[in-house]
Amino acid sequence: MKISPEGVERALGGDLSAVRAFVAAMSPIVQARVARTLVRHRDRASARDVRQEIADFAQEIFLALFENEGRLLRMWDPARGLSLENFVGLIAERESSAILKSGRRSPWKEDPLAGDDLELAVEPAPAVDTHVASRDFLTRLLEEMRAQVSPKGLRIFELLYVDERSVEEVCSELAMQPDAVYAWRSRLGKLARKLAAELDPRSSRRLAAQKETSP
Amino acid sequence: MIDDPPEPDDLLRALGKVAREEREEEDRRIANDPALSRPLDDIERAKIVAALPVPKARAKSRGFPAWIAPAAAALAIAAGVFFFIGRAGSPSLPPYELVVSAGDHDVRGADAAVAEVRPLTPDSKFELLFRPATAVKDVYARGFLVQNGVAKTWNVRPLTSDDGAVRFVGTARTLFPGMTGEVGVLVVVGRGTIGLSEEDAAKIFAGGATDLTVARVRVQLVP
Repeated sequence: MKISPEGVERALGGDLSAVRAFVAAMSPIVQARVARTLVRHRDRASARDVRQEIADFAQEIFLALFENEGRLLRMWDPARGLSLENFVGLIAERESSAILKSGRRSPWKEDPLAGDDLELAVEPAPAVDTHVASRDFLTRLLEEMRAQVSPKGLRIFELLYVDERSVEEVCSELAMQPDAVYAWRSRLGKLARKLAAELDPRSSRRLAAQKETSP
Repeated sequence: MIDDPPEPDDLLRALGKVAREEREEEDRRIANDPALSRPLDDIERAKIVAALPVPKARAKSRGFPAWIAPAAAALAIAAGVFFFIGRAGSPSLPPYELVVSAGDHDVRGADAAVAEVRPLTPDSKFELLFRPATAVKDVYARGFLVQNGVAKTWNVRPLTSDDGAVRFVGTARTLFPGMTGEVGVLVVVGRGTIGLSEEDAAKIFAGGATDLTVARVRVQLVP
Protein backbone atom coordinates (compact mmCIF):
# COMPACT_ATOMS: atom_id res chain seq x y z
CA MET A 1 0.00 0.00 0.00
CA LYS A 2 1.44 3.36 -1.07
CA ILE A 3 0.92 6.29 1.27
CA SER A 4 0.68 9.66 -0.45
CA PRO A 5 1.62 13.00 1.13
CA GLU A 6 -2.13 13.65 1.39
CA GLY A 7 -2.51 10.34 3.25
CA VAL A 8 0.19 11.41 5.69
CA GLU A 9 -1.58 14.71 6.22
CA ARG A 10 -4.90 12.99 6.85
CA ALA A 11 -3.27 10.67 9.38
CA LEU A 12 -1.69 13.58 11.21
CA GLY A 13 -5.04 15.35 11.15
CA GLY A 14 -6.69 12.57 13.09
CA ASP A 15 -8.36 10.51 10.37
CA LEU A 16 -8.28 7.11 12.05
CA SER A 17 -8.55 5.14 8.82
CA ALA A 18 -5.55 7.08 7.48
CA VAL A 19 -3.64 6.43 10.72
CA ARG A 20 -4.31 2.72 10.43
CA ALA A 21 -3.30 2.72 6.77
CA PHE A 22 -0.08 4.53 7.63
CA VAL A 23 0.80 2.13 10.45
CA ALA A 24 -0.06 -0.89 8.31
CA ALA A 25 2.08 0.37 5.43
CA MET A 26 5.06 1.47 7.51
CA SER A 27 5.15 -1.25 10.17
CA PRO A 28 7.08 -3.74 7.98
CA ILE A 29 9.94 -1.30 7.42
CA VAL A 30 9.88 -0.19 11.07
CA GLN A 31 9.87 -3.81 12.30
CA ALA A 32 12.74 -4.72 9.96
CA ARG A 33 14.88 -1.76 11.00
CA VAL A 34 14.23 -2.35 14.70
CA ALA A 35 15.14 -6.01 14.32
CA ARG A 36 18.35 -5.02 12.53
CA THR A 37 19.24 -2.55 15.30
CA LEU A 38 18.55 -5.10 18.03
CA VAL A 39 20.84 -7.58 16.31
CA ARG A 40 23.53 -4.93 15.77
CA HIS A 41 23.44 -3.83 19.41
CA ARG A 42 22.60 -7.16 20.97
CA ASP A 43 25.11 -6.44 23.76
CA ARG A 44 22.92 -3.50 24.78
CA ALA A 45 19.55 -5.12 24.21
CA SER A 46 17.64 -6.14 27.30
CA ALA A 47 16.96 -9.73 28.26
CA ARG A 48 13.25 -9.19 27.62
CA ASP A 49 11.27 -11.16 25.09
CA VAL A 50 12.47 -10.01 21.67
CA ARG A 51 8.96 -9.79 20.23
CA GLN A 52 7.91 -7.51 23.06
CA GLU A 53 11.06 -5.48 22.51
CA ILE A 54 10.32 -5.05 18.80
CA ALA A 55 6.68 -4.08 19.49
CA ASP A 56 7.72 -1.53 22.13
CA PHE A 57 10.42 0.00 19.93
CA ALA A 58 8.03 0.18 17.00
CA GLN A 59 5.52 2.01 19.17
CA GLU A 60 8.19 4.49 20.28
CA ILE A 61 9.15 5.16 16.66
CA PHE A 62 5.58 5.77 15.55
CA LEU A 63 5.11 8.03 18.59
CA ALA A 64 8.21 10.00 17.60
CA LEU A 65 6.79 10.47 14.12
CA PHE A 66 3.39 11.64 15.34
CA GLU A 67 4.12 13.64 18.49
CA ASN A 68 4.27 17.44 18.52
CA GLU A 69 1.58 17.44 15.85
CA GLY A 70 3.71 15.27 13.63
CA ARG A 71 6.66 17.64 13.46
CA LEU A 72 9.08 14.89 12.49
CA LEU A 73 6.80 13.21 9.95
CA ARG A 74 5.91 16.53 8.35
CA MET A 75 9.58 16.94 7.47
CA TRP A 76 9.21 14.25 4.84
CA ASP A 77 8.91 15.79 1.42
CA PRO A 78 8.92 13.46 -1.61
CA ALA A 79 10.28 16.30 -3.74
CA ARG A 80 13.51 16.09 -1.74
CA GLY A 81 14.33 12.63 -2.97
CA LEU A 82 13.63 10.15 -0.16
CA SER A 83 10.65 7.85 -0.41
CA LEU A 84 8.40 7.70 2.64
CA GLU A 85 9.57 4.13 3.29
CA ASN A 86 13.22 5.16 3.25
CA PHE A 87 12.54 8.21 5.39
CA VAL A 88 10.61 6.24 8.02
CA GLY A 89 13.12 3.39 7.88
CA LEU A 90 16.07 5.65 8.54
CA ILE A 91 14.21 7.41 11.35
CA ALA A 92 13.39 3.96 12.81
CA GLU A 93 17.02 2.89 12.72
CA ARG A 94 18.25 6.08 14.32
CA GLU A 95 15.56 6.16 17.01
CA SER A 96 16.01 2.54 18.01
CA SER A 97 19.78 3.01 18.19
CA ALA A 98 19.29 6.08 20.38
CA ILE A 99 16.94 4.22 22.71
CA LEU A 100 19.39 1.34 23.06
CA LYS A 101 22.28 3.72 23.72
CA SER A 102 20.66 6.13 26.13
CA GLY A 103 17.29 4.70 27.06
CA ARG A 104 15.48 7.55 25.34
CA ARG A 105 14.70 8.77 21.90
CA SER A 106 17.10 11.03 20.05
CA PRO A 107 16.31 14.71 20.02
CA TRP A 108 15.55 15.99 16.52
CA LYS A 109 16.60 19.57 16.81
CA GLU A 110 16.67 20.26 13.12
CA ASP A 111 15.29 19.09 9.87
CA PRO A 112 16.55 15.53 9.36
CA LEU A 113 16.46 16.08 5.62
CA ALA A 114 18.59 19.19 5.80
CA GLY A 115 21.88 19.14 4.02
CA ASP A 116 21.32 20.02 0.39
CA ASP A 117 21.75 23.67 1.05
CA LEU A 118 23.90 23.54 4.16
CA GLU A 119 27.57 23.08 4.52
CA LEU A 120 28.78 21.19 7.53
CA ALA A 121 31.23 23.19 9.59
CA VAL A 122 33.86 20.48 9.55
CA GLU A 123 36.67 21.98 7.54
CA PRO A 124 39.55 21.43 7.52
CA ALA A 125 39.06 17.70 8.07
CA PRO A 126 42.09 15.79 9.36
CA ALA A 127 43.49 12.90 7.40
CA VAL A 128 42.84 9.43 8.79
CA ASP A 129 44.91 6.36 8.04
CA THR A 130 42.33 3.77 7.12
CA HIS A 131 44.98 1.06 6.90
CA VAL A 132 45.66 1.20 10.63
CA ALA A 133 42.06 1.85 11.66
CA SER A 134 40.80 -1.24 13.42
CA ARG A 135 37.50 -2.91 12.68
CA ASP A 136 36.30 -1.93 16.14
CA PHE A 137 37.20 1.69 15.52
CA LEU A 138 35.42 1.72 12.17
CA THR A 139 32.35 0.15 13.76
CA ARG A 140 32.24 2.90 16.38
CA LEU A 141 32.79 5.54 13.72
CA LEU A 142 29.97 4.08 11.64
CA GLU A 143 27.69 4.28 14.65
CA GLU A 144 28.58 7.95 15.14
CA MET A 145 27.92 8.64 11.48
CA ARG A 146 24.50 7.02 11.74
CA ALA A 147 23.71 9.16 14.78
CA GLN A 148 24.78 12.43 13.22
CA VAL A 149 23.96 12.29 9.54
CA SER A 150 20.47 13.13 8.33
CA PRO A 151 18.31 10.37 6.81
CA LYS A 152 19.00 11.69 3.35
CA GLY A 153 22.75 11.78 3.95
CA LEU A 154 22.65 8.24 5.30
CA ARG A 155 20.71 7.05 2.28
CA ILE A 156 23.33 8.58 -0.02
CA PHE A 157 26.09 6.94 2.06
CA GLU A 158 24.32 3.58 1.83
CA LEU A 159 23.84 3.80 -1.90
CA LEU A 160 27.35 5.00 -2.69
CA TYR A 161 29.48 3.06 -0.23
CA VAL A 162 27.44 0.14 1.10
CA ASP A 163 25.63 -0.82 -2.09
CA GLU A 164 28.50 0.57 -4.22
CA ARG A 165 26.13 2.22 -6.66
CA SER A 166 27.34 4.77 -9.18
CA VAL A 167 26.68 8.47 -8.88
CA GLU A 168 24.37 8.17 -11.88
CA GLU A 169 22.33 5.48 -10.15
CA VAL A 170 22.08 7.57 -6.98
CA CYS A 171 20.92 10.53 -9.05
CA SER A 172 18.27 8.38 -10.64
CA GLU A 173 17.00 6.89 -7.37
CA LEU A 174 16.96 10.11 -5.36
CA ALA A 175 16.08 12.51 -8.17
CA MET A 176 19.26 14.51 -7.55
CA GLN A 177 21.71 16.31 -9.77
CA PRO A 178 25.28 14.89 -9.95
CA ASP A 179 26.67 18.09 -8.44
CA ALA A 180 24.52 17.60 -5.36
CA VAL A 181 25.68 13.99 -4.98
CA TYR A 182 29.34 15.00 -5.28
CA ALA A 183 28.72 17.72 -2.70
CA TRP A 184 27.19 15.16 -0.36
CA ARG A 185 30.12 12.80 -0.94
CA SER A 186 32.56 15.52 0.02
CA ARG A 187 30.48 16.52 3.03
CA LEU A 188 30.22 12.92 4.26
CA GLY A 189 33.98 12.43 3.87
CA LYS A 190 34.75 15.54 5.88
CA LEU A 191 32.34 14.57 8.60
CA ALA A 192 33.74 11.03 8.76
CA ARG A 193 37.28 12.35 9.21
CA LYS A 194 36.18 14.88 11.81
CA LEU A 195 34.33 12.23 13.82
CA ALA A 196 37.29 9.86 13.49
CA ALA A 197 39.58 12.50 14.92
CA GLU A 198 37.19 13.09 17.79
CA LEU A 199 36.87 9.39 18.56
CA ASP A 200 40.60 8.85 18.49
CA PRO A 201 42.86 11.87 17.99
CA ARG A 202 45.82 9.55 17.37
CA SER A 203 44.15 8.20 14.24
CA SER A 204 44.70 11.47 12.44
CA ARG A 205 48.32 11.72 13.57
CA ARG A 206 49.33 8.18 12.63
CA LEU A 207 49.33 8.87 8.95
CA ALA A 208 51.58 11.88 9.30
CA ALA A 209 53.92 9.93 11.60
CA GLN A 210 54.07 7.01 9.19
CA LYS A 211 54.81 9.29 6.30
CA GLU A 212 57.65 10.93 8.23
CA THR A 213 59.26 7.57 9.06
CA SER A 214 58.80 6.06 5.63
CA PRO A 215 61.97 5.82 3.49
CA MET B 1 27.58 19.13 -13.87
CA ILE B 2 31.07 18.99 -12.38
CA ASP B 3 33.73 18.31 -15.00
CA ASP B 4 36.26 16.90 -12.59
CA PRO B 5 34.43 15.27 -9.70
CA PRO B 6 36.41 14.55 -6.52
CA GLU B 7 37.65 11.01 -5.85
CA PRO B 8 35.69 8.93 -3.34
CA ASP B 9 37.07 9.05 0.17
CA ASP B 10 39.00 5.98 1.36
CA LEU B 11 37.58 6.30 4.84
CA LEU B 12 34.04 6.25 3.50
CA ARG B 13 34.90 3.18 1.45
CA ALA B 14 36.23 1.47 4.58
CA LEU B 15 33.08 2.42 6.48
CA GLY B 16 30.93 1.17 3.63
CA LYS B 17 32.71 -2.17 3.72
CA VAL B 18 32.12 -2.48 7.47
CA ALA B 19 28.46 -1.53 7.01
CA ARG B 20 28.09 -4.07 4.21
CA GLU B 21 29.56 -6.88 6.29
CA GLU B 22 27.45 -5.81 9.27
CA ARG B 23 24.31 -5.92 7.15
CA GLU B 24 25.10 -9.38 5.81
CA GLU B 25 25.60 -10.70 9.33
CA GLU B 26 22.38 -9.01 10.53
CA ASP B 27 20.41 -10.42 7.60
CA ARG B 28 21.68 -13.90 8.40
CA ARG B 29 20.70 -13.64 12.07
CA ILE B 30 17.27 -12.17 11.33
CA ALA B 31 16.51 -14.84 8.72
CA ASN B 32 17.33 -17.53 11.26
CA ASP B 33 15.20 -16.10 14.05
CA PRO B 34 11.41 -16.03 13.49
CA ALA B 35 10.96 -13.71 16.46
CA LEU B 36 13.03 -11.09 14.64
CA SER B 37 11.69 -11.62 11.16
CA ARG B 38 7.97 -11.93 11.84
CA PRO B 39 6.02 -8.78 10.90
CA LEU B 40 3.97 -6.96 13.51
CA ASP B 41 0.57 -8.60 13.79
CA ASP B 42 -2.88 -7.00 13.95
CA ILE B 43 -2.87 -6.70 17.74
CA GLU B 44 0.54 -5.06 17.83
CA ARG B 45 -0.48 -2.60 15.11
CA ALA B 46 -3.81 -1.86 16.82
CA LYS B 47 -1.95 -1.02 20.03
CA ILE B 48 0.32 1.37 18.14
CA VAL B 49 -2.65 3.10 16.53
CA ALA B 50 -4.36 3.38 19.93
CA ALA B 51 -1.27 5.00 21.45
CA LEU B 52 -0.64 7.62 18.78
CA PRO B 53 -1.30 11.24 19.76
CA VAL B 54 -3.62 12.08 16.89
CA PRO B 55 -6.21 14.82 17.44
CA LYS B 56 -9.27 12.83 18.47
CA ALA B 57 -11.69 15.71 18.09
CA ARG B 58 -11.08 15.66 14.35
CA ALA B 59 -11.33 11.92 14.04
CA LYS B 60 -13.77 10.79 11.39
CA SER B 61 -14.63 7.72 13.39
CA ARG B 62 -18.21 7.71 14.54
CA GLY B 63 -19.65 4.46 15.74
CA PHE B 64 -17.51 1.43 15.09
CA PRO B 65 -15.04 1.59 12.28
CA ALA B 66 -15.19 -1.08 9.64
CA TRP B 67 -11.67 -2.30 10.35
CA ILE B 68 -12.41 -3.56 13.79
CA ALA B 69 -14.88 -6.17 12.66
CA PRO B 70 -12.69 -8.30 10.35
CA ALA B 71 -9.38 -7.64 12.07
CA ALA B 72 -10.49 -8.13 15.63
CA ALA B 73 -12.75 -11.00 14.73
CA ALA B 74 -9.85 -12.83 13.14
CA LEU B 75 -7.74 -12.22 16.21
CA ALA B 76 -10.56 -13.30 18.41
CA ILE B 77 -10.94 -16.58 16.62
CA ALA B 78 -7.22 -17.19 16.78
CA ALA B 79 -7.14 -16.47 20.48
CA GLY B 80 -10.20 -18.42 21.43
CA VAL B 81 -12.16 -15.30 22.18
CA PHE B 82 -15.46 -14.23 20.68
CA PHE B 83 -16.81 -10.77 21.14
CA PHE B 84 -19.72 -8.62 20.22
CA ILE B 85 -19.78 -4.87 20.28
CA GLY B 86 -22.60 -3.32 22.16
CA ARG B 87 -23.69 -0.26 20.23
CA ALA B 88 -23.75 2.80 22.41
CA GLY B 89 -27.25 3.83 23.23
CA SER B 90 -26.27 6.22 25.96
CA PRO B 91 -26.79 9.72 24.57
CA SER B 92 -24.21 11.16 26.96
CA LEU B 93 -21.35 9.04 25.68
CA PRO B 94 -19.57 8.90 22.33
CA PRO B 95 -19.40 5.60 20.47
CA TYR B 96 -16.96 3.10 21.93
CA GLU B 97 -14.77 0.62 20.15
CA LEU B 98 -13.42 -2.62 21.48
CA VAL B 99 -9.96 -4.14 21.10
CA VAL B 100 -9.31 -7.55 22.60
CA SER B 101 -5.94 -9.19 22.70
CA ALA B 102 -5.65 -12.59 24.19
CA GLY B 103 -3.47 -15.61 24.18
CA ASP B 104 0.27 -15.89 24.09
CA HIS B 105 2.78 -14.07 21.96
CA ASP B 106 2.05 -16.26 18.98
CA VAL B 107 -1.45 -14.95 18.53
CA ARG B 108 -1.89 -14.42 14.80
CA GLY B 109 -3.82 -11.82 12.95
CA ALA B 110 -5.89 -11.84 9.81
CA ASP B 111 -2.83 -11.96 7.56
CA ALA B 112 -1.93 -15.41 8.81
CA ALA B 113 -5.43 -16.73 8.06
CA VAL B 114 -5.45 -18.71 11.30
CA ALA B 115 -8.91 -20.07 11.96
CA GLU B 116 -8.56 -22.60 14.73
CA VAL B 117 -10.04 -21.89 18.14
CA ARG B 118 -7.31 -21.98 20.70
CA PRO B 119 -8.58 -21.79 24.31
CA LEU B 120 -6.89 -19.64 26.90
CA THR B 121 -4.72 -21.33 29.47
CA PRO B 122 -4.37 -19.90 33.00
CA ASP B 123 -1.11 -18.19 32.02
CA SER B 124 -2.51 -16.62 28.86
CA LYS B 125 -2.58 -12.86 28.89
CA PHE B 126 -5.93 -11.22 28.34
CA GLU B 127 -6.49 -7.55 27.61
CA LEU B 128 -9.77 -5.84 26.93
CA LEU B 129 -9.62 -2.21 25.82
CA PHE B 130 -12.91 -0.36 25.46
CA ARG B 131 -12.29 3.18 24.29
CA PRO B 132 -14.34 6.14 23.11
CA ALA B 133 -14.06 7.59 19.62
CA THR B 134 -13.70 11.02 21.23
CA ALA B 135 -12.43 11.85 24.69
CA VAL B 136 -15.00 11.81 27.46
CA LYS B 137 -14.62 12.63 31.15
CA ASP B 138 -15.98 11.05 34.31
CA VAL B 139 -16.60 7.60 32.93
CA TYR B 140 -17.30 4.68 35.24
CA ALA B 141 -17.15 1.05 34.26
CA ARG B 142 -18.41 -2.23 35.66
CA GLY B 143 -17.78 -5.76 34.55
CA PHE B 144 -19.83 -8.93 34.85
CA LEU B 145 -18.88 -12.55 34.19
CA VAL B 146 -21.60 -14.72 32.77
CA GLN B 147 -21.65 -18.49 32.87
CA ASN B 148 -24.58 -20.73 32.04
CA GLY B 149 -26.82 -17.71 31.82
CA VAL B 150 -25.95 -16.46 35.30
CA ALA B 151 -24.11 -13.16 35.72
CA LYS B 152 -21.87 -12.24 38.62
CA THR B 153 -20.12 -8.97 39.28
CA TRP B 154 -16.54 -9.16 37.97
CA ASN B 155 -14.30 -8.45 40.92
CA VAL B 156 -11.59 -6.88 38.83
CA ARG B 157 -11.06 -3.17 38.94
CA PRO B 158 -10.60 -1.74 35.45
CA LEU B 159 -8.03 0.88 34.59
CA THR B 160 -9.78 4.02 33.39
CA SER B 161 -7.91 6.70 31.49
CA ASP B 162 -8.57 10.43 31.58
CA ASP B 163 -10.12 10.30 28.12
CA GLY B 164 -12.63 7.64 29.07
CA ALA B 165 -10.94 4.44 27.90
CA VAL B 166 -11.45 1.37 30.07
CA ARG B 167 -8.94 -1.45 30.25
CA PHE B 168 -9.01 -4.85 31.89
CA VAL B 169 -5.68 -6.64 31.74
CA GLY B 170 -4.07 -9.65 33.39
CA THR B 171 -3.60 -13.35 33.01
CA ALA B 172 -6.59 -15.64 32.63
CA ARG B 173 -5.75 -17.03 36.08
CA THR B 174 -6.12 -13.66 37.81
CA LEU B 175 -9.03 -12.36 35.76
CA PHE B 176 -11.11 -15.55 35.75
CA PRO B 177 -10.03 -17.34 38.95
CA GLY B 178 -11.12 -20.94 39.18
CA MET B 179 -13.25 -20.75 36.03
CA THR B 180 -13.15 -23.11 33.08
CA GLY B 181 -15.23 -23.54 29.96
CA GLU B 182 -17.09 -20.78 28.21
CA VAL B 183 -17.26 -17.52 30.15
CA GLY B 184 -19.00 -14.36 29.03
CA VAL B 185 -17.67 -10.92 29.87
CA LEU B 186 -19.99 -7.95 29.91
CA VAL B 187 -18.46 -4.50 30.33
CA VAL B 188 -20.73 -1.54 30.93
CA VAL B 189 -19.57 2.06 30.82
CA GLY B 190 -21.50 5.12 31.79
CA ARG B 191 -21.41 8.39 33.66
CA GLY B 192 -22.11 8.27 37.35
CA THR B 193 -23.27 5.18 39.16
CA ILE B 194 -24.16 2.19 37.02
CA GLY B 195 -27.08 0.61 38.81
CA LEU B 196 -27.25 -2.62 36.85
CA SER B 197 -28.36 -5.81 38.60
CA GLU B 198 -26.73 -9.16 37.88
CA GLU B 199 -30.01 -10.41 36.46
CA ASP B 200 -30.22 -7.52 34.02
CA ALA B 201 -26.55 -8.01 33.12
CA ALA B 202 -27.29 -11.62 32.17
CA LYS B 203 -30.18 -10.48 29.97
CA ILE B 204 -28.07 -7.83 28.25
CA PHE B 205 -25.28 -10.32 27.64
CA ALA B 206 -27.79 -12.66 26.07
CA GLY B 207 -28.72 -9.93 23.63
CA GLY B 208 -31.37 -8.06 25.50
CA ALA B 209 -32.04 -4.46 24.59
CA THR B 210 -30.25 -1.77 26.55
CA ASP B 211 -29.53 1.91 26.29
CA LEU B 212 -26.21 1.44 28.05
CA THR B 213 -22.82 1.35 26.35
CA VAL B 214 -21.69 -2.25 26.62
CA ALA B 215 -19.11 -4.69 25.30
CA ARG B 216 -19.71 -8.42 25.21
CA VAL B 217 -16.85 -10.91 25.01
CA ARG B 218 -16.93 -14.70 25.17
CA VAL B 219 -13.84 -16.54 26.33
CA GLN B 220 -12.94 -20.22 26.27
CA LEU B 221 -10.91 -21.19 29.34
CA VAL B 222 -9.06 -24.45 29.89
CA PRO B 223 -7.45 -25.65 33.15
